[in-house]
Amino acid sequence: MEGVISTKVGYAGGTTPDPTYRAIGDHSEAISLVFDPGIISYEDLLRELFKAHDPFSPSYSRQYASIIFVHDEDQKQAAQSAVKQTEQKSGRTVVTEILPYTAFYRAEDYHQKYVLKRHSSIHEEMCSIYPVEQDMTDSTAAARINGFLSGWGSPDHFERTLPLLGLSEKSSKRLEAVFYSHR
Amino acid sequence: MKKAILLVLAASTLLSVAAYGRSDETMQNVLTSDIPAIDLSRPPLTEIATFALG
Repeated sequence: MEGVISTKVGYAGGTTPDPTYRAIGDHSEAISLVFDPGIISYEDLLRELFKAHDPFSPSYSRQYASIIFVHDEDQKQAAQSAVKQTEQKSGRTVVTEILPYTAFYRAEDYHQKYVLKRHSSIHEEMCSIYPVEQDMTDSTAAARINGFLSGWGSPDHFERTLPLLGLSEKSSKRLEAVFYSHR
Repeated sequence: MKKAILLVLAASTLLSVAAYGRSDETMQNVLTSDIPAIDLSRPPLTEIATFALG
C-alpha cells in the first residue's frame, strides 16, 4: 500500500515476557506498520484491516484474536468509529477489540516477509542487496515485493514501483509474472 | 552508489530527526528504505499502527 513504509510481524497484547512462536503465551499474532499519514491515513488502514480479515467471528484462541492496538487517543477514536461504521454497514456485531498499545515483540526472522521468502531467486537477490537480514525484512522494498507477490496493489502502483526496487531484469520479470497472475 | 544514497539519506534523516525529535525506530526504517516512500524534503511525519487480525 502506498504510504506504508515498512511492516513487521510479531506478538502483542499479552503479559508473557519475550514471547516466541513456540511460546507465545497470552499474546496475539500481530503486524506493526510504519506509515506516512501524509500519503495514507490511519482511517484508510483501518478500512483495509476490516476488508482483509473477518472481524465478526470470535477467534478460538488468543493467538488469533482480532485486535486494534491504539497508540494514542486519535487512533482510539478512529478505531471506535471504524468499528461502529462496520457494524452499521453489516448489521453484525464486530468482535475486534480495541486495546491500548503496550509493546510489540518482533517475531522470528523466518516469519518475516513470508511470501517473499517462498520466491527463492528474488529473495536471494534481496539478501545480496541487504546483507543484514533485518535490514532486508524492514525495508520498504521488501514490504512492496512481499505485497506484490501476494497480489496486493494496483497495476498502476506496481508499474511505478517496479523500476525503483533495485531488482535485476530477471527478478523484475519474475515479480511481474507473479503479480499479474493474481489478476 | 548505494553508499552515497544511504549517506544522503542518513544526513537528511539525522537533520530531520534532530529537528523533529523522531524515534530511533523511525530513523532506522527510513535508513533501511531504499525507495523514496517518504519525501525527505519535508519532515518525516510517520506513525505506527499495530493490528492483530487472526
